[in-house]
Formats: sequence, structure tokens, C-alpha cells
Amino acid sequence: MATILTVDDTASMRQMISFTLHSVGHEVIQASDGKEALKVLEGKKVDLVIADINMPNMDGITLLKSLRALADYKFTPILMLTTESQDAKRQQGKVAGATGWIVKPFNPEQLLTVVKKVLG
Amino acid sequence: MAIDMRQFHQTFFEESLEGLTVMEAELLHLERAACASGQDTVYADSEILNTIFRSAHSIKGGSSTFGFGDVAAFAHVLESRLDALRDRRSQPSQRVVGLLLLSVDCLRSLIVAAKTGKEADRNAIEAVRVQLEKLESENTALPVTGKTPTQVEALTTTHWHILFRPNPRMFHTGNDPLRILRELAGLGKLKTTADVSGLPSWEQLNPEECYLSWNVELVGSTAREAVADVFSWVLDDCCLEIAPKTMLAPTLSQRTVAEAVAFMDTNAGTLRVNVPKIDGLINTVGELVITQTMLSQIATNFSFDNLSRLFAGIAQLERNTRELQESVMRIRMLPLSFAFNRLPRLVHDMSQKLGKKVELIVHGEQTEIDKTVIDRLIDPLLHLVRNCLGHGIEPPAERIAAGKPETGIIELKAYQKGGNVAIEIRDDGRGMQHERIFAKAVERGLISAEAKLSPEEISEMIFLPGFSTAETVTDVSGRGVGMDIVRNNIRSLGGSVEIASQPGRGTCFIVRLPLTLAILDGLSVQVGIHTYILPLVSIVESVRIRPEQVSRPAGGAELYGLRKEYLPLLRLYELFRIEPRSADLTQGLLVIVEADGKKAGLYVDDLLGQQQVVIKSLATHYRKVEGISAATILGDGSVAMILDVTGLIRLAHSGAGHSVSNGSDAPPATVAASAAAPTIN
Amino acid sequence: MKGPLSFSPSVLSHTASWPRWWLWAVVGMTVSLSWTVPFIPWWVGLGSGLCAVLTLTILAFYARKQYEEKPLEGEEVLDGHDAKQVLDQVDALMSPSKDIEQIPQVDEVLQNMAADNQRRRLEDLMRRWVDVAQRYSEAALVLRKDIYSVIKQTEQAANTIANSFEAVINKSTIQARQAMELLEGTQGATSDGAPQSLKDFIQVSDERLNKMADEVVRVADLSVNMVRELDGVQSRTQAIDGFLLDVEKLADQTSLLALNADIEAARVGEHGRGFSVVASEVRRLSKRSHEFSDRIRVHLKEVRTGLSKTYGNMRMLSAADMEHALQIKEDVVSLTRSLEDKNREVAETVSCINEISKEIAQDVRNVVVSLQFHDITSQKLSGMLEPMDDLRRSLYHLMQETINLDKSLLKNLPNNERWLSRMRDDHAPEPVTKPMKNAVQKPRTVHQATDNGPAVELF
Repeated sequence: MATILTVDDTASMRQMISFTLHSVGHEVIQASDGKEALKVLEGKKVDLVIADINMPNMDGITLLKSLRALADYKFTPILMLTTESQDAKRQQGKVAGATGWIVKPFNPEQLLTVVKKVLG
Repeated sequence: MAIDMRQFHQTFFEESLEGLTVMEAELLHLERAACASGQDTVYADSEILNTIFRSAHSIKGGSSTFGFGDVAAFAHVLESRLDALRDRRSQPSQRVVGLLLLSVDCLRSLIVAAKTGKEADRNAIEAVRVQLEKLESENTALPVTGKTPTQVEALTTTHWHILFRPNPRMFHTGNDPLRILRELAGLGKLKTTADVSGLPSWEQLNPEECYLSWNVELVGSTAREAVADVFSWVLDDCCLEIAPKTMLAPTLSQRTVAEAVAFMDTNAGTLRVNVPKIDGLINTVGELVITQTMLSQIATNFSFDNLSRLFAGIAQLERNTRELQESVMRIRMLPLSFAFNRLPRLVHDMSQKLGKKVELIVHGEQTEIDKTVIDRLIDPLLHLVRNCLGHGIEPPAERIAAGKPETGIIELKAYQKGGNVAIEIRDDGRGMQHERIFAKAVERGLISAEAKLSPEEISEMIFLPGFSTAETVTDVSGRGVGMDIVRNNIRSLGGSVEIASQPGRGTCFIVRLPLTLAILDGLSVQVGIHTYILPLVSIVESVRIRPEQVSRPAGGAELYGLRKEYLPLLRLYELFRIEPRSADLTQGLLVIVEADGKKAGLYVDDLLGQQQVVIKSLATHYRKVEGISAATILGDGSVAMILDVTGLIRLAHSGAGHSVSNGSDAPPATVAASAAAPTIN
Repeated sequence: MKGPLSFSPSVLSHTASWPRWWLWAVVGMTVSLSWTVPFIPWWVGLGSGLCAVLTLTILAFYARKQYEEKPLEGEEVLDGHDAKQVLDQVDALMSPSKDIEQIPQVDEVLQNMAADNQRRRLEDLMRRWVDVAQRYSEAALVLRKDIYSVIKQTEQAANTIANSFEAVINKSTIQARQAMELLEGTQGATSDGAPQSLKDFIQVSDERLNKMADEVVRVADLSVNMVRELDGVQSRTQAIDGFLLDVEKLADQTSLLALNADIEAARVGEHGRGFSVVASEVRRLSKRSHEFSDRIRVHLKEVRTGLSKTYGNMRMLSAADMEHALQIKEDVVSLTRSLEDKNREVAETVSCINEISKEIAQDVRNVVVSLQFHDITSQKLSGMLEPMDDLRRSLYHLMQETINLDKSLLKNLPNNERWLSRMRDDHAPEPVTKPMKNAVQKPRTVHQATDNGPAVELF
């Protein structure tokens, strides 16, 4: 199936996402912050990026902007993980070019639906 | 304990009606947000829904406790709908908001009925309630798991017409219209028509931009929310319209609404005051006590050394009393928002009815003004706004043809200026249509066809009695219509109304009102041995008379030429039949006053000074005397008349300045005064 | 009605001149006494003088006390002080100079006292304020450390749980799959048609056994037929026997005839010689047929013996066959049935396993949602820290400002300087720490020493 990159500074979060996506046969790459994500992406192409917003070194919004500046990822779907109270961040994300958002904590069924929705 | 309960009832009614006003305002808020964003669904701020819910909830509780069964029943239905809405944090559509507004009207008329004992329009209320209940089943009939076939059957087939026009930059967020359409296809039978009109020529085509838009017909059994959900990520990046093929909710009889609303206004028995104002009052009184203590102390051990301290104490006392007076006056002052609160609803209803798109902008509604003024201001204000809606703002087609935005704007601006409060009602419509007014005036025989009038004068004519506008909009309040009554009302408040208009650009009504009716800032003038008070707001200036500027054209009236204008000159001593100090104009002063756009010069012997006076009405004791509006008691105990500038100007302009000889209704003002001196107290 | 205004001068003059009038009285008395000295003994004079002085002193004392203690009528309570305090204050203000013009007026005095009061209150307030701020700072520090440790602990716990959970899920998946394979191995068939599963096996065996049973039954049927045939044969042999008898009888009759012929021939004599030849031939023929029939009979007997033997075997065989065949058929049927039962049990177990797998999937979903708690709680906790730090910073600044308040307010009281410096030394506030995110990387134990301050730099 598809290759998906998940970026989050919390290990358990990344684990949950990988686990869920694996169960339907997607391949998952992990990164713990924006910087690592960009490094990991070198020489690879992923079909979807799921990124947290609050991360050290490089946060989600900055990562988003950096990705959109790359030709390879100009039109790749990028989903942001937000907590409910981060409305302002959601707006920022939209402006920076996010495709959509998932509210934490996520229900694995929902996640799979959204991923399917985005990957078509 | 019937009497006890009545007090509680009174409070309950007040609180409920206030709560309903709050609900109405919030609902209009919701709707305004929807109108502004141009979409049909409304993203309800959960706080707004909570506020509305709380109001309905407390009304239900109170009415239930006090035994108003039908109010409670209706409020219960409304409350459960609102609860469902706020729990789901869903997006009430415009139709739902309209229905909720109607429910507010119903509740209001029910409460009025409970209070006055009159019956409300049961049928209409029942209809609305049925609609409310249907709302519930409609919203909860969405099958989530498909396990309950009965619920699925209950949902009728829906037919949505969706217009989806993505922004060119839609791709840049990683969104793909194709997959959105694919998702829609999963909701029902889809018929899509692509609109390629946006495609540029090959050379200009940028493959990274989206030029297409789609018209989609979706037939299935999906609720609007499900459809809107598909677009939830791209709402900001596209133009989206989702329209059903269903009808709109019915309207409650306007009369019941009007009655309920009218009732609300005459509830003048009680007053809501801000606690800080009371605190300020208490503080001031406290300081007054201290000052008084200090003074009495000084007084008991009075010696001439303490004179300076005595004066200081007295000055302090004066300060304190003035503060006290201001505090008390301020208590009676309410922000103008109380007068403005019915306007959004009016604008909303009328604009829908007339098929015009209007936006109401309000500035300065926190400007405060006396309560009595507000109560009597509401009607004229409503009428002026209605006028703007009816005549000023053009229908959308005409507006677009004129190059204006489709939505008209009515702007209310209130501010304090000097001792007055000014309210500007401005619209960006077609302005005063002078030719039509002229023609209508000629038609009604108010002026002759040959009369030459300036545009301002033509505009003023709408205030003439008998100049009711022919296109009467539905009679919402059942009270007087006609701009003349508006002007009279405002005048009776001590204010004035002016018009400024530009054809094609808009009209502006400026209403000026005194801050309070009870106290007047006045200028005391001497005429003969008597003192009169002129309201400071009406005074333009005072000049020494130059004899060469006085002219006496035929007819007996005198005119004074001031700069470029000629003003009628009114000798007050003649009018009031007093002996002046000197009949020679050069000995005295001319006070130029203004009202309703007209000016006049009043000849007085001397100017005494500025002071604040408490207005004491004469109406209860005497018939109306032209030129006198009220009376007051001066510091030395004598009575001074307060002059009615408008009346005086009218007299002056009509050339009756010489003497009020036609009349039993004008005993010399002084005799009346002296005779009344003991009783006026 | 004696207000302080009128009060103070006389009192002041009173108190100021108490020694004065006493002195004057003493002097006057001495002078007057000195006049009488020549007329009275010296010790009388001295004694009376002393007595008088004593009396005067006592009187003066008493008078002053009275003045002091008499409640002042019509006294107004001004600003919460009574006249005594006013007096004291005036006293205090007056001591540097005794000039009447410089005696402050009441309102000045009151103002001073009010200012004093305010000063005192201000000091008190400041002291309390600094105290509170200090206590908050300390509490905030402790709280912050606790929060760090909570975050770290939840992170560890969450990771452990997540790992274990994933492992468990993997293992359970493997188990389920194996069970399924095992079970399904008994259900399906391979492509070459050979029965791979139990079901197929059961089916095929069933068919074959049935076929065999049918064969046996057919054989039995055949046997029965054969017996019938044999019966037929037997009866034929018996018929042949009968014929043989008849033949013997015929032969006997023929030989009798021949005898008769012989006799006749003899009678006839020569003419009958041909006859007697014929008769002897006939006699020989019948003898021969006797012999033949005997031989046939012997054969027949043999046949018969053989037949009956076969017959007996056949009989035995057919009976046995039938019984056997039926028995086998019954056995086959019951075997098939029990095999089918077993198969059904297996199928039920399979569907049970499927159900449980679905439930497990749901539980897995729940766990996945819950395991995100660490992320959320740590974000929320970190969110708490910033307002706390803000508050601390504000408090710190406020404290600084309080300490550096306009000194003119406090300058009149000489102890102020001392108090100020004392306060500064005792209550130097803790420096505020940097925001948290970077610090999380260092592992922290639960109990941290708080006295030495945090290990991070000054903000």
C-alpha cells in the first residue's frame, strides 16, 4: 500500500500511529521532530505525512512550510495532529498549506478513514 | 399571598424578557456571521449556543415554578432543541436559526400573554412548536451504524444542489477535488457537471492551479452535515453553496410579535442599574458626610481665622453635591444599546421581506442617555431605520447596476457632543429623491408647483404632517407612522432631527438629544427685572447689536443681518409684555439661538451667567404658553422661566414677534410666575 | 465643646509650664517665707517651706493628671484617632521647637498621622506581600519539579505499555492465524482433487465404504441366485434319477420280453431261432442298459454329492455375506456421522475464533486511543508551566518595585532604612527559571533538593 511518514516527539504517539497504519498494510516511517523528518525524507518519497504541531527543534508548522517548498511535496497531502484547544494553530496550518487535521486523541478507525479519504 | 407572588412575577417577567432579548441578539449574531461569510451553514461558537441555551433554560425553570404552564411547555421544547444543538456542537443552518428566532417571538408573546392576561395567537405558536419538534427528528435521523432500519426509513430522500468552486491554489494544500468528489459519490447518486469556463488558454495554463468548478446534484438520504463534512477541510479555500429543494419556515403573525415587543418598551416602572454606579454614589455620599462634618466643626468653633478653611469646606461641599448630583443622574442613564437592541431584528425581518440585503452596523451603543429619553426614543428610531430600509436602500439588482456592493449598509453612530447625544442614522442607498418628494408635496397641496426650494428644504418637507409615505411597509408596531410624528417625538424630548442626503450616495439622519430631561445647562438672561433661562445647547452666540444691521422690511418684523445671513429679531420684552431696561437695541445684547436648522436673534437686556437648573414642568399647572417650556427655581428662591427656543423661533419666523395679542392663552408670563411662586415649590 | 483647636494651646502651655508655675510658686513661697525668717525659728521655716513645696508638687501633679485623664467632651473622632493620639503626635512634632507659630494645626497633625498610618500599613502590606511572593516562589519551584517528574514518568509508563501492547497484539495475531490455519487445513481441498481435508477424507471414505458394502450385497445376491440355480439342478438330477429307474424298469421289462421271446422261440423251435437270437441280443442290450444306468447312477450320485456340498457351502456363504454386508454398512454410516459431528465442532470453533478476533480489534482500537494519554497530558502539563512562570516573573518584578518604592514615603521614619535593608537581605527572591522544553531531556528523579535552587540558569 502507501508509504506514510509520521512525525511526533512522543514515542507512544508514533507507535500508535504506526501500529494503526500497519494493520491495513501501509508502510510507516517515523521521525521525532521536523528536522529529523526532513533528513529521513532525503532520497525517499512518501505518499502522506502526518505531523504533530508541538515539537522541539522544528515544529509542525515550520516543517509544513519547508515541505511545501520542496517540489516533491508540493501537492502531497500533509495532515496535522492538533489538540482541541489549538484553533489558532489550525488556522496557521491552513495558511501554511496543510491538507487537513486530525484531533488528538485519535480513534484508529477515524485515522484510517481519513487516510483513505486522502489517499483516494 | 397573591401580592407577594406578583412581585416575583414582575421580576420573572422582566428577567425573562431580557433573557429573550439576549437570545435574539445572539441568534442574529449567528446569522450575521453566516451572511458575512456568504455560506449557508453556520459554525456556531459553542459559547453563543451555551448562552442561548442558558436563557431558555432559566425561562423554562422560572415559568414552571410560577405556574405559567404554556410558557414552560414551549420553553421546554425550545430548550431541548437547543441542548441537542449545543451538545452536537453542530452547525445550525440558516433555516434553523430562522426557526429559533420565531420561537423567541413565540415565547415573548406567551410571556406577554401571561403577564397581561391576554391570549396569544395559539395556532401560530402551535405551528412553530411542531416545526421545532420536527427539527429534532430530522437531525437525529442520520443512521450512523445502519443498525436501526426504522430510523433510516424515517429519513426522507434528500436532494442537494452543491456548487463547488475551489480556489486556484487548492492543490497547494495537498487537497484534490477529485477525491472530494469521489467521497461525495459515496453518499448517494451523483450527477456532476464540470464548469470549464475558468480554463485559460494553453500558454497561460499553470498546471499547478485549479481552474475548474463543479455543479453537483446529489440525490440520496444524507443530511446537510454529512455533505458539508466532506468539504470540511477546504471550506476556506473554496466557494461552496449547498442548497436543498425544501421550503422555508412560516412566519409568525407580525401582530403578535409587535404586541409583545411593544409591551416590553412600556415597562418603565423599574430600572436596572450597574452596581459600580451605586458604589460611586455611596462613595460620594460618604464624602459628603465627611465634608458636612468638617463644616459643622468649623462652624461650632468659628473664628475669623478659620474663614479660609470655611470657604475651602464650602467649596468641597459644592464639589461633593455636584458629584452626588452627577452620580444620581448617571444612575438614570442607560446605554443606548437598550434603544438599539430591537434594530437588528427589524433589519433582519424587513430586509428578508423586501428582498433586500442589508447589514446593520452600530457604533457607540455604549453612549449613555437618560432612561426617559431612551424609552421615548425607540419608536422614532425604529421609524427612521424603517424609512432607510424602505426608501433608502435599493434592491440588490439596482445596487449592482449602480456599482455598489449588493449588501446595503445602515450605520448607526452614537456619540456624545457637548451636552448632547447625537445619533446618526446613515444609509448608503439612493438618497433623498428630491423630485419625488417635491411632486408628492405638490400633490398633497402642501406647496405650490412653482415654489423654489433648496434641496435641504425639500428634504425637510418629509417632516410635514400629512406627508405619510405611500409605500407603507407592513404595520409592525401599529403606532403612528409618518416622519412628522417622529420629529414631534424627538422634539418633545428636547432634541432635534436633521437630514443630510446625497442623491445616489445615501442619506443621513442626525438626531440630537439632551443628556437628560431633568437638568438643563442654561444661560440666564435678564429681560427687564425678570430672569429667563435659555438652554445652552440652543445658543449659538451672542452679539452686541449694530444698529445699521437692523432692517425692517414690510410686515413689521425686524431682521438682523449677521455676517451673510438675515435673522428675525425677537424682542423678548415685547413678547412677554415686560418693561425692558431699555428699548434701545444698542443697550442690550442679541442672543442668537438655533433650533431645527433655523436661527433667530433674541434681544435681552443682559446676560447673567451660566448655570445648571433643575427643570420643573409647568404642564401640570398651566396651559401651554408659546415660548416657555418649563420653569426653575433660582438660588435666591425666585422663579425663572425656561424659554422654548423652538417655539420662539417659530414665532419669530412667522412674524408674530410683536405681541402675542391674539390670545387668551398668553397671560403675561410674569404674572403667571409670581402667582404661581408659592405653589411651584 | 472644647475642641482640640482651643484645647491644644492651653494644654500645651499647661504642660510646658508645669515646671514653670511650680517653680514660680516655690520661689514665691521662699521669698515670702524669707520675710518671716527673722520672726520664726529656722527649722519652722524650713519645715513649713518643705511642706508647702510638697503640697504644691502634689497639687501640680494631681492637676496635671486630671487634665490628662479628664475625658474630653464633645471630642470628635477624626480619622479614627482620639485626641490623646493627636496630642501625642503634636507632642512628637513639637519637641524640636517651642515656637507657637510653628505648632502645627490640627489638619496638619491629622495629615501626618494619616500619612504615618498609611506608612505603617504600607510597610505591613509590603512585608506580607514579599512573604507571600516568597512562599509562592518556593511552592512554584517544587511544583515545577514535580511536574517534570510526572511528565517523565508518564512517558516511561506510556512507552512500556505501548511496547507491551504491540507485542501482545502481534503474538495474539500469530496465534489466531495459526489456529485458523490449523482449522482451515481441515476444511479446504487441494487443486489435484486429492482429499486434503478431513471433510474430503470423510466424504471419500464414505463413498468407498458404501461402494464396498454395495459390492458385498451384490455378491450375496449372486450367491442367493446361485443357490436357486443349484436347487434347480438338484431337482433335475432327481428327475434324472427317476428317468433312470424308468430306464431300468424298461430294461427289466425288455429282458423279460426277451425271456418271453426265448421261451416262445424255444417253443417254436427252429423257426424261432432268429427270434431267440433277437431275444438274446435284446437280453444283452438290456443288460447293457442296466450297466449304463448303473454307471449313470454312480455319476449322478457323485454329482449329487458334489452338488449338495456346494449347496451347503453356498447356503452358508450367502447367509454370512448378507449379514456381514449389512453390518458393514451400519458401521460405515455411524462412522460417517461421528466424523461429521467432529467437523461441525471444528467449524464452530473457527467461527468463535473469528468473533473473538473482531472483539479484539475493537479493544485494540480503544487501547490505541487511550495510549495517547501521555502525549496529551505532557502537553497540558507543559502548558501549565508557562503561566506559572509568568506569574512568578511578575511577582518577582512586583517585589522589586515594592522594595524600590518611592523612598520619600518612608523617609520620615528613621527605622525605615534599617527595615528596608533587612528586608532586602532576608527576602532576596529566587531567580526565575527558563522555560521547560529543553530541560525535559535530562532525566530527573522524583525528589530533588530544593534548597540549593534549580540547576538551570537565571532567566
